[in-house]
Amino acid sequence: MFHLMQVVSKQKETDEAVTIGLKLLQEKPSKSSLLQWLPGQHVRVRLNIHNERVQRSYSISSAKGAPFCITVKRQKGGLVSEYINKTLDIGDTIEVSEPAGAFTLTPDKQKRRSHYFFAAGSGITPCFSMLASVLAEEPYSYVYLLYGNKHPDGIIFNNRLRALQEKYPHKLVVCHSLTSPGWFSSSPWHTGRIDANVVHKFIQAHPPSAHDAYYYICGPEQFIPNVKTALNDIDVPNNRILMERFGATSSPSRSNTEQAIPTDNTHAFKNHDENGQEVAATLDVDLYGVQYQVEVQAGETLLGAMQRNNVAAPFSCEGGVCGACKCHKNRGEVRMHNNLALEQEKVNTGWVLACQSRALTPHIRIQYKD
Amino acid sequence: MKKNDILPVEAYTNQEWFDIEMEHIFSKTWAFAGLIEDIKAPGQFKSVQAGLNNIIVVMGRDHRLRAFHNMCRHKGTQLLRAEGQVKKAITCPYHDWTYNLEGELISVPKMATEFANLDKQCLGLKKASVDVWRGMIWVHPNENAPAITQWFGEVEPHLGPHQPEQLIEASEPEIEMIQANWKIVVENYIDHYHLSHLHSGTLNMYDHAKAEFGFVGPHFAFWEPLDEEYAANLEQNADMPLIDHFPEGEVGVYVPMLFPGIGLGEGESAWTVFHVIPLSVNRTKVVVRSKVMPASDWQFMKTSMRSNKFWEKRLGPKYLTEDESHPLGSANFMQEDIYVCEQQQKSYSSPYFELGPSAEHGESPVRDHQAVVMAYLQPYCQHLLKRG
Repeated sequence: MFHLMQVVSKQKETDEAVTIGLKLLQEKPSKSSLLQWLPGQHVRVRLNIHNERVQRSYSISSAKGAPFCITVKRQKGGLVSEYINKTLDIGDTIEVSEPAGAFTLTPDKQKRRSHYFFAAGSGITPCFSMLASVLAEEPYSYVYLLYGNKHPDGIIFNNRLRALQEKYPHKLVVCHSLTSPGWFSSSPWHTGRIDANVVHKFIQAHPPSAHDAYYYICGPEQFIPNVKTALNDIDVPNNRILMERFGATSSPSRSNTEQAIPTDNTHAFKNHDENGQEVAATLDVDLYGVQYQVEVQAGETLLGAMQRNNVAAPFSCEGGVCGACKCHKNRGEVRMHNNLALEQEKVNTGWVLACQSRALTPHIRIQYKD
Repeated sequence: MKKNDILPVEAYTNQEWFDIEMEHIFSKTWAFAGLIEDIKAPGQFKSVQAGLNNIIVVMGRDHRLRAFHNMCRHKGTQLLRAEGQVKKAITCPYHDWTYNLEGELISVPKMATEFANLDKQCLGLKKASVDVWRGMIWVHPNENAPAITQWFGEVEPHLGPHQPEQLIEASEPEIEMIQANWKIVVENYIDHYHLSHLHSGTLNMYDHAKAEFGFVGPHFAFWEPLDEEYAANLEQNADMPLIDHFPEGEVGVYVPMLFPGIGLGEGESAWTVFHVIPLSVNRTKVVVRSKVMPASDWQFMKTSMRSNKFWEKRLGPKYLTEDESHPLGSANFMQEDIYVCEQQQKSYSSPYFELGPSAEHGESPVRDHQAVVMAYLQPYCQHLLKRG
């Protein structure tokens, strides 16, 4: 379900990114679940650009209780992000979906936790919402942020993070890692990419003050498996790690003009059958007991085909990371382009991620069960 | 006239009372497990007895502490001893069952032949809770325990401004075996009435008349200012380097008793944990660990010598007629306290013993502590109360 929202503010974060404040345009805004989002969730945004209807997902970047905002970084050749940054203006209306996503943090004022965030580039957007919410609403908890960027001018929320550090000097640690720090700015905590050594150095320098610790990773492509492996190397168990590909994912019907689905297949969690052609197929779906049949195009994801046919299968990150779309495959063969969510043991017993699976055989049957 | 009679005398002498206290107080609350220095590096571990539970605390390479019940899921054998170092796994000495640092069972010798269809996932170590608060490690037997800051939240504002992380433990822990019930030891600690009498020669650097104290939830808070003469020239008079991180005007001594049985002595030059460990109904172990300013031996010697004259005049035994070997001639407040606790315990077993009146103000903490204990035991002690 989409809601009509009006742009009420537009604030430049960097030369490349803008924060858009949105207000519901309907009679009883309190009835809408849009006001019930969790920090870390994202919405789908639908707008008309040059008479074409386009749709993208963007993370909610405001803290709980603050006015509803999304933050959008301009992508090279990105139609929608370019439009939002350049053209969209106060007073314009756009359509916004219900919030979704399993990369969330629900603040709990009773709890005392350490929250570690690892963000790269615009991966900061959901993290900022999460950390700002938790600082305000979890008085006994601590927040540690390791934040990677190329250049100091490209650091989204730099000033807001500084303000939070002043407000919560004993509860918030922010460490910047920059690949090109520039000549005139003060040197960052680390110069270079965020690799395993940097992750380890960060945790050693800032061990948890509260020992119920959680780890959130948000960034592009290789960033997620790199940080995850680095954490696993130092005994962090998977059930304390949450991951999300940065910011938005492109809508399945207009695949990857906005952000490339990772195509390189070097990391450990890939489940690629390198041989085998992706083919069109007939997909039988058992969605918690309800049966559907849809046609999948060659190279299309099973989730994409279901969405095209209005089958309301569960999903969240669409990046193979969160596991919300996992289902059991009873027939046929598929190829997952990216899988960070399912352990090898699960894959071996037939579990797949619908958002990543392409058909390799002409008949596929999947089942969603609780 | 009030009496300290919220708990019956039997609660101090009868093993059955002790057993329900172990089960329903000491096995269900956050327990003191040591100072942060005890587990400094990944792989270091420590096991602590907390009521009926023995709990292991181990640090992973992520510097996060984990806590488990110290029992192999095979036959219950204790996995780790008091203190030491593990690598990536915890192995039971009995049959070499091995667990990783998340407590998951990762290997069982001869599994295929001896344990057909064994589901290792169901046989992970039972999890407990652990956290660090005010430089101390705390454990709770329940994996989903309320946060430590919930448990101590109300009393925290009444504790000293001390930062124990910045102090160092300069001497070995002091261990005392006391022939008395743990509640007698605790109730002596929180009894304001005795301070200017039993300790007239040993704790007279504090102004007991100006003490402020009372219970906050299950915990006891206590503060009193330094004696005027002592405070007037504190720099010269202090026998150890003064703790340097107090906000202006906050010098005084904080002597809270956190429930159950974790006393703190937060003073001008030392920060002390007084850990009361019940062993049986009439035996209690007390472990005292102190931290002081990080300073050189020379500085400690200098302050000690400089203040010697002041203390020579001030400190002395309760009775000059006793020699140093007698607690009341020792000029040591801890020995004085132990002496009276043991006397009281003996009398509680006499058929002629009868509770005397309880001081309205000075002994109110004793009655309040009894009420806290009673609130915990109420559902489990009715049969003991009926028996009289």
